[in-house]
Amino acid sequence: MKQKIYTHRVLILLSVISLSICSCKKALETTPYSFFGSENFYSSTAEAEMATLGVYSSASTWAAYGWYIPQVLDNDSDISQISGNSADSWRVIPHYTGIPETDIYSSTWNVLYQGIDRANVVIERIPKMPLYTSGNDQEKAKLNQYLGEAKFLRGFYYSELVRMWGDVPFKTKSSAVGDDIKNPLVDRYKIYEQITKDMLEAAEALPPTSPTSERATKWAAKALLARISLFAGGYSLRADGQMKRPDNYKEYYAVARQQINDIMVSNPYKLNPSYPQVFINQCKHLLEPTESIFEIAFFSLTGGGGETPNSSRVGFWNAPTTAAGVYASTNLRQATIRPFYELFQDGDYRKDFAVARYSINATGNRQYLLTGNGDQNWAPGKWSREYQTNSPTENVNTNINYVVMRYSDLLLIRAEVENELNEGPNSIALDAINQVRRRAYGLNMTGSSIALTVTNGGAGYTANPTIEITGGGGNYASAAVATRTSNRVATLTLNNGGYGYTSAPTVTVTGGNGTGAVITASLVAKPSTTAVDIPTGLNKQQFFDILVDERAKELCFEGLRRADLIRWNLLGTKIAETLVKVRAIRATYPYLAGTNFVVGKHELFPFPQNEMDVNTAITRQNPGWR
Amino acid sequence: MLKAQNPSLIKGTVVDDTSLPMVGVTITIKGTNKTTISDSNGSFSINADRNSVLVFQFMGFRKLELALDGKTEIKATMQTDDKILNEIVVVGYGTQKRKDLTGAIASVSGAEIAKVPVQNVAQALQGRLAGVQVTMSDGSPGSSPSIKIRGGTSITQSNEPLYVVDGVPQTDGLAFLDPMDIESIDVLKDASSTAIYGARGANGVVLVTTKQIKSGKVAINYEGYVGAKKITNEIPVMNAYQYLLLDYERSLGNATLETSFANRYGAFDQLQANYGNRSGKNWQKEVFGSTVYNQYHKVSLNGGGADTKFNLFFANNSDEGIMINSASKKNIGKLTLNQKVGQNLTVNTIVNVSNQKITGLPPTEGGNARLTVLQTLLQYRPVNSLNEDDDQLLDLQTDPFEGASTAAFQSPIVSAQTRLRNRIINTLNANTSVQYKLSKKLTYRGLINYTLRDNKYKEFNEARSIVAIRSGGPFGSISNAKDIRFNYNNTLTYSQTFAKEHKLDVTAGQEYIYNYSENFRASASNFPAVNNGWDNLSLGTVVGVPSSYAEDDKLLSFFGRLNYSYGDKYLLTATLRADGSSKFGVNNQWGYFPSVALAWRVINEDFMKKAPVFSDLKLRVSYGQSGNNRIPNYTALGTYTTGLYPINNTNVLSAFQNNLPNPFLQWEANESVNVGLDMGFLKQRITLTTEWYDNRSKNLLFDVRIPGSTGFSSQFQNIGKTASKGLEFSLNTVNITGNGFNWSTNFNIAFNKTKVLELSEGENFKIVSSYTDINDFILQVGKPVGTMYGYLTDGLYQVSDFDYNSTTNTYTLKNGVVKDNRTVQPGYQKFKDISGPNGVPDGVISDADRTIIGNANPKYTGGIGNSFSYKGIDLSVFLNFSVGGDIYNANVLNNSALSNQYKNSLQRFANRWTTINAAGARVTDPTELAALNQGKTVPSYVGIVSDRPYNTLIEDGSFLRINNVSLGYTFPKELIQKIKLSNARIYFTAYNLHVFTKYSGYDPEVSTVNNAITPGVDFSAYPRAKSFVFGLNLSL
Repeated sequence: MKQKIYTHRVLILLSVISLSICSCKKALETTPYSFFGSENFYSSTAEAEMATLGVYSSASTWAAYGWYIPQVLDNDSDISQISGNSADSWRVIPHYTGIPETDIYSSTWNVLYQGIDRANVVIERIPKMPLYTSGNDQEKAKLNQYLGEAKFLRGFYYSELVRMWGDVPFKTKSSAVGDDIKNPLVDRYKIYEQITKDMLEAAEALPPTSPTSERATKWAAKALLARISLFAGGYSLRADGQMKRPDNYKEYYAVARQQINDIMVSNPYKLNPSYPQVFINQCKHLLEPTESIFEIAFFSLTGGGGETPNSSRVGFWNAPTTAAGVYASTNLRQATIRPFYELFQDGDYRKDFAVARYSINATGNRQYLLTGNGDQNWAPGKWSREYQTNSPTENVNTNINYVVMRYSDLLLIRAEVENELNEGPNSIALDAINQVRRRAYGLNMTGSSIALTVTNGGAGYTANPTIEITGGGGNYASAAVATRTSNRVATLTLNNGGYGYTSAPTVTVTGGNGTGAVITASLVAKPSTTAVDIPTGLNKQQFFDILVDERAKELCFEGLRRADLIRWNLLGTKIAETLVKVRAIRATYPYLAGTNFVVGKHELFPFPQNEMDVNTAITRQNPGWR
Repeated sequence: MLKAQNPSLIKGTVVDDTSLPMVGVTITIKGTNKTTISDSNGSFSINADRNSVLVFQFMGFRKLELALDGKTEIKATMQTDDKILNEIVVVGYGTQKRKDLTGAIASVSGAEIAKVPVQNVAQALQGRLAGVQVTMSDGSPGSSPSIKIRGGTSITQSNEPLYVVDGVPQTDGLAFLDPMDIESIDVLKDASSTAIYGARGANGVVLVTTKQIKSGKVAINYEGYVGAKKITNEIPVMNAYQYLLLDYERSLGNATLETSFANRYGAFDQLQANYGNRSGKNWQKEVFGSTVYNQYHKVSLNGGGADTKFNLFFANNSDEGIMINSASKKNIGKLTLNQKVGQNLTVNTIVNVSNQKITGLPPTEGGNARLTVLQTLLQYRPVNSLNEDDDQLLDLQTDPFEGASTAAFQSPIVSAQTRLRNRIINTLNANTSVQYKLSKKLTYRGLINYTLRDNKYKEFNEARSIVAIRSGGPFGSISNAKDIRFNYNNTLTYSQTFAKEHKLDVTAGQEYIYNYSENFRASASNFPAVNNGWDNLSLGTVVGVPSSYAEDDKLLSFFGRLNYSYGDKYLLTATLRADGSSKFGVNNQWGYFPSVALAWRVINEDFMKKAPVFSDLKLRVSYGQSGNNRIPNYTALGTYTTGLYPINNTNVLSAFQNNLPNPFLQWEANESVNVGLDMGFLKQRITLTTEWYDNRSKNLLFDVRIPGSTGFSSQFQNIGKTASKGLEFSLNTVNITGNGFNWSTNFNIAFNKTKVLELSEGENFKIVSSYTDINDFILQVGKPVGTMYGYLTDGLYQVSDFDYNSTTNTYTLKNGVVKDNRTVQPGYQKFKDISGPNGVPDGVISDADRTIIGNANPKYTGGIGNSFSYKGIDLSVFLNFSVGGDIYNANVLNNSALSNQYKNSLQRFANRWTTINAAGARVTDPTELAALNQGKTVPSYVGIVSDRPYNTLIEDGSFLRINNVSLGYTFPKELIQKIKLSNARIYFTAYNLHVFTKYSGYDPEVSTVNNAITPGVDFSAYPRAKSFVFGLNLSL
């Protein structure tokens, strides 16, 4: 009896235990609640679209276009430099004192490859989706577009890697389990072949519309291919330390010409008649559908100190110094270089718009920095706080898109390509550059800038009175008294002629303890087309030299200058020339690039040490870096 | 009526169980305080009533009471107290007598732990057990120590052992326990002991048993202490004058800065006169300098009868941190209930509720920037302008010198007051265990546990805080993480003795663990002027995107153990465990972990009778395997995570692969061999345990950095093998006993060496980063885990290394002098050119010139404790030490760069290579520059930057710490009974009294980067304090 009870107890116990265990396999299944499983992702067009946007989002980071690529890695040049001399990575690299360990190199490198891998996944997975072959027309069209976008972005990201690092690891297959994760360097021209192929295939798949959003279009693919072709056909630093361009470089120019011609047939683009408005619109997050060719989207719901997703530093890191007050503060991080300002001619509205010779005080007023070494603090003016929406989320990070390519860039490329292939400027080249120049001089823009004359010097001015300019429909005209004779206002300094004045504004003179000074404003007549246009009859080199300057004036601070100078093999020359120019201004004018730049080294970035340490398939560092 | 006293001279002898006379035995007449001591022949005499009872006491022997029963001559035979041998040791899923142990298990009693006035139980283990290395990351209140057993062989994020409290595995350490509630802690060190924990045992197992309840009359107890704490030392920084010299040197050449320097501080030639005697502010003193207090109070109620026993307590522990505005407060309530149901069933229930609130800005928050608390302390300027009071600096929200738009510095006091952080951890642990005797030989045990841990982190940056100023307004967030764990296990134990000599004990069991965790975070910024973001996030005008996350993992296990002994001489233990974990790839989910151990109790052999000096002799040999599954969930699966791409200023979801999955991921396996020898001499007055081990881990799980060109920066892989070998000694001696005076000593020392044996794919090394993106550690075959990596300094670039061009005032490096891939000038740090891209020195300093510069692993560690007692007085002194481990002083590296304006730095940079002469002019002339800097060894203010770790940052972290000194007095029973107390003790303890070390930072016991392969980094560590407490224990 006792034995029986005992057996019963054991049986009950064992059955409880075994029930509680159930099936082992099921007992160990877990759910990734917060993620999508990779096995069944890409089951709908919506998921394919999310994955495609994931390819874009790599670009929407500080390491890519929010900050580093255009603002850190494209400095210092002959038009701008990073201020200060302390050991921050974002200062060290522009001042040509970075080393392979400097972290920004690996951040940017990694984020571009991250985008490429995401693109590779999309390019592999979409064609395997049942909907890709058996979906309805709408579904097929969508998937085809996503495929095109992925190819476009893969081509774009690779073009950036090749531009900055030369020969790089190259893969068009997504990283997967069991792969050899060490990829050797591949010749940059091999990679350009794939980029060209990707861009052409993208152009076929993408919608032939002008942009309605930050997503790629057919024309963006073609325009970017045109630009990339110029880089492929331009100079680059080879492994032997020499700057060379390919022997067949004109073939690349021909590809560019073909793309531009394709675009021009159904030209969807047009310049905004007002150069300043292009950037004011950027600051206000307005899409410029006819001038903007491709933009990287930035917009973050949250403010805060560090990097929040999709936050931009355009208009924060490259804006005039602003004291906290009416606007949120910015420091001088990117400074312009005075000789660049002096390159502009009078009447060119880009001059005083693009270069801010002022800082902004707490009351929101411009303080012109024209005396002493104030010129060392001139900054890019295109994305000044004054034009921004100044929402509380944009105090440190902004929501300003990075514009990868504008139509004026394409026009100047057209001029360059025609000049090169034609061995001199033809009418297409002249027309292209002149469209840009006419816009710059405001020929189609409403209003003008103003000039001032002292009509009456007044009397009793023991100090300089303040000059205030109001009305007239325009903006930003500013002047100060330059000299007084016998306590009378004698001469003036026009800080800024302003723009957009349709009638002469009112000028009031206050302070200075005197009375009676009268200053009259008048509209400055617009120059004639012929005065603005590039004259005919220039030879190839003359036209090219003009183009070199014109690209600087038109596209300054947009992340292209250093890159352009490298492809023309002019970076060393320009830096040396700039050093001479700034030293002539002042012996202490800081220009670290002038002493630190090394020809045959700094035209390429070093392979990041993080990569070199683990990717043993890379057997050499870029020339000069060790 | 009193019994008439009839004293007689009683004579007698005392012998031990081998009939040898015993010296120094204390003989007391029961009920009196009349005492005598036995002499060298074991003889004694005492005047006593012939009907009284004599009490014989001697340490290591059982207390003996003999009634005289009218005799005047008596012979007493005392029996060895083999308490130590018969002591119950907790092993996995059961207990064993110490004499029956076959594996390497070290134990410490709750009484020892209670001596250390700390909040975390694990901290009290410091130095107590051979081969158990306890390191506090720093001295911040509420910080959890990390425990490394036998050096740790794993290279995943954590080398932490598995903690098991009252049979329940814990995932978050021991913070929820009351340090005074510990019965014992048993540490399983070898794989034969840990294999029963299978997949989680590879780093050792720490078994904690909380206080067991005793039946008896209901008693109320109070335990408590109050104490004071103070910082132990400071890191020397440059004084006011030295700082100004640096700032002057930096300003030269920049007209704006030169002018403002002169306006603020006066002319250079007056600097010495104006500031030479001005002390300026000592920021460390301002922020860490005050005396703070800690206190602990616990009230408990216990009692019960034969069937029901209970214990209920509430403890409150409040620990102020030495930094302004930092503290940790802990409340613990616990109910233990033990119920007997009939003859065979016992039910035990424990409910432990704890609440901890940790306040204060973590000193490492802010990374390597000036915004990090400790970095600000070292870098904030010590002195104000000529005519302004230095005290004004105390309240500065931003440094006016920097200009409103460039604020980076803030008074560290304001920072500590305005960057508010609160961590609130609530835990509920409820377990019920059942023991059911199915028969005399078969016992069922079951345990069910439910743990809920709620961790809330609140962060608010007031408008006045530097981070709010920099980001345009106050911001705050609340995040909440919840962990739920459900765990049950069932075991059946069969015990049988055959033919008297054969004892068999078989256990079979099953266990299931389910972990679920989720978190939620909400944030807001741009609050109006009011600063109450914590309690009303909706006041923030900009609302952050809320985030949430959930994950789970499962572990299913079966295990068995066989204990067999023959004649109390030969012991065998064999275990096997099968674990299935959801973290691994479908084909690698199951792991099998066997172990076998043999022990020979030599002492019980007949031939040992000839060696009476031995009281214990046991040889143990064991082999076993255990595993490690401590990796994040879902690493074997490819998962897609989501992000945003803001098309037309509207956030649109994007998705991308989260990680590069590795479905081949499998268990990290640890194999270990252990040989142990237990010796006891002179009736156990001396016991010595020696352990030798060889641990080998293979298939190490590691988040390997992979080339960025794959699109990912890291991947979890099984990458190689490591070995850890060592020798441990634990010695306990009773030095003096008898005469009412006792002195005993315990000493332990452990030698350990770890080595990487193999890395995947034949890779030679993998370099890893610690506190910033700088690669400063290396995993290399043949070298230990925790190897520091960097450049070797080679003096400074001298003037003579350069050609000087007098027209351009420029120095160009001469041919033949080692170049650097960074431009160098005279006075710059020079490094040794030891290699190049082709493996030979190439004349250029580049990454190829990095080499091994340090090893964080100590050669040996240990502790020595001495306990004295005389009558009611007890004194204990405990010291712990560590010899040979290197510290990577990252504070120095981070402050090596001196070029930033307004930034102070460490004292060691005061005597640097200078570029200015006595007149304050910049020197360019080679002769003058060389003369000025003869014999200088510290680089110029621009001569070194902080992105290259170098060998002189590595310091010897050897130390000897006077861990605690405790003096107590227990009041005599007769005295306290009058006031109805059953027990009363007062004590005074000094904790962390002094550290003998050469290390230049706050404390050599530091590791601020929580990663198994980057130990020994000192970056912005919260300084340790010494504390003095006065305590009281009372029982009603």
